Amino acid sequence: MSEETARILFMDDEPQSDVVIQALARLREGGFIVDFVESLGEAIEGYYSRYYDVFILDIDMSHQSIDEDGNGVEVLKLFVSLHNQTKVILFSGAGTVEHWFQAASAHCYAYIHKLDDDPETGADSIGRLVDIVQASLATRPVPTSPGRVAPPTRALLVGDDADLIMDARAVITEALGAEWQIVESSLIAALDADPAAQGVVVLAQRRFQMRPRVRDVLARLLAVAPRPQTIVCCEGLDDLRASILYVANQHPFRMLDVANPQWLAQLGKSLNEAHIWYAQQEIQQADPGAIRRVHIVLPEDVEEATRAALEDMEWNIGDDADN
Amino acid sequence: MRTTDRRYGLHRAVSSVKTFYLVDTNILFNCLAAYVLRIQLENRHFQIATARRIQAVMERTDEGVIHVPDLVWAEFVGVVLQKNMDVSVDLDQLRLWFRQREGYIQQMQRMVLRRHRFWQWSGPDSPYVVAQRFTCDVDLIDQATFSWMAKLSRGRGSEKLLDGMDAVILAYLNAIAQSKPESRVVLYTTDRRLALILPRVRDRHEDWFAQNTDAEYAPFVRRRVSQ
Repeated sequence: MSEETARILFMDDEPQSDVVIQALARLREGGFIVDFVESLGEAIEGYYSRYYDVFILDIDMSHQSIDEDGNGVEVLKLFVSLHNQTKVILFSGAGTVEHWFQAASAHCYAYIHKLDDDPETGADSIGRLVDIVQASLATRPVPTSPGRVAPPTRALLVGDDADLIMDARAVITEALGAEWQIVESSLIAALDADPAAQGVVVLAQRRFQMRPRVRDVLARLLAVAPRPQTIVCCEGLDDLRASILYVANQHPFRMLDVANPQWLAQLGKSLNEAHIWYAQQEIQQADPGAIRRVHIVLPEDVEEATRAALEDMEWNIGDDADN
Repeated sequence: MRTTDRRYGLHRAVSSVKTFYLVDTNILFNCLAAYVLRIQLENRHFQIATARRIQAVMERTDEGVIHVPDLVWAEFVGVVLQKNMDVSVDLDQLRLWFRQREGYIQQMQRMVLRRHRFWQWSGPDSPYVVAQRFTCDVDLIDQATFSWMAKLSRGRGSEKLLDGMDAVILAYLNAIAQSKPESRVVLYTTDRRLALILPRVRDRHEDWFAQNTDAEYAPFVRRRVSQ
């Protein structure tokens, strides 16, 4: 399917807001077919009933969806668990620090704050949204391979905060084993490192300046995923939104908030996950009920009828086979 | 005498010898069907109890015990993409169907990667070359087996045994067992014929076929299939 006919599902609970109206108009002007929904339930139904190339989701849905639990990040997690290469762009003005980290770790394709301009091009948020939709359509799916390639037992640990690096080093050794060699590097010196020769890359630094050179380092280190995966640990503060979302949009394997008292435990868990998914796109576990709903093309009540029919069949065939 | 522990389906030898399992394509497909019953809606031979037992085995067996050969995985993917294929002319619907099927495959892949092991053939010869030793052995099927198969087919002559993929899976069983000479390697399958012929394969090809092999027939856990 060409970009011109790509279909997008756009979920937002404020259809009258200027940003949403303009975003819809610009996307449609760009040649996309855009279906707009105002609730979480409709967005989920949309995933099952029609093929969408891209999903654009708001996070805070409390204006329209007072009877629904959850938010856009929960819907992202559901969609990505049902197919790991589902492209979800979060487009929100109300997401919290926690949402930024959760969305990055759940593998959103992009996270755009409705009020933020592009730090590199100066484009407004709607222009960025259109650009990212086009970029997502140009991104080819990565074929998944069942084989498990053993990662090199080397970890690249990058950052300039000595205390964070010391803590992260201890966790890497504990989680991956003493046989792993840990190579430390300052952030700028990491430009000379070869991230592809590592089994995992851990970036641990409280905050990242948005200077071009720093952005280059981050982009380069994060571009090697999934061989190896990169885990980013930084401080989650509102005033660091630009740098946090910049990192989130480089597709880290996990993004951890060092202000969270549990971050070291999360790092240990993330290292093990990164080891399992080395050289592969992570597949999240889907809820079995959500998997079964994939056949929504049949009426809902068919599920029970099917089960009953199969239960009967079991006895008939079982008796026959036993004889 | 072998003592077994049947906590959730697999016969587990209670001894110091570690047991590994090689699963057949039908095991993976049954496991998937236990989650998504509708993919077996048109199969009148489908046994839901068997599927659920297999699902329990796949979910609960200790990590690293079950091996999924690359060939089995390839066949499983082919089966999932072929069953109840969407042949509509609506290309949007076809893409939706394909994404759904890929989702099924991904969930199974996740289970294998996190809990079990993919096993890649690394022998100097193709497994098909090894398998030819079985398909060329005209005396492999003895009179008793032949009679039993004839009875199963009820005169239609439609029963098959070691007709290609069956023989190849035994080549994999042999290769895995040879890589783990101190362990017992068991083929876990819903193919009764294949499970039944294994002892004879082991005896007739004793000079090269691994003797630390066994087979377990998934649908009838109360019976010992071989030995």
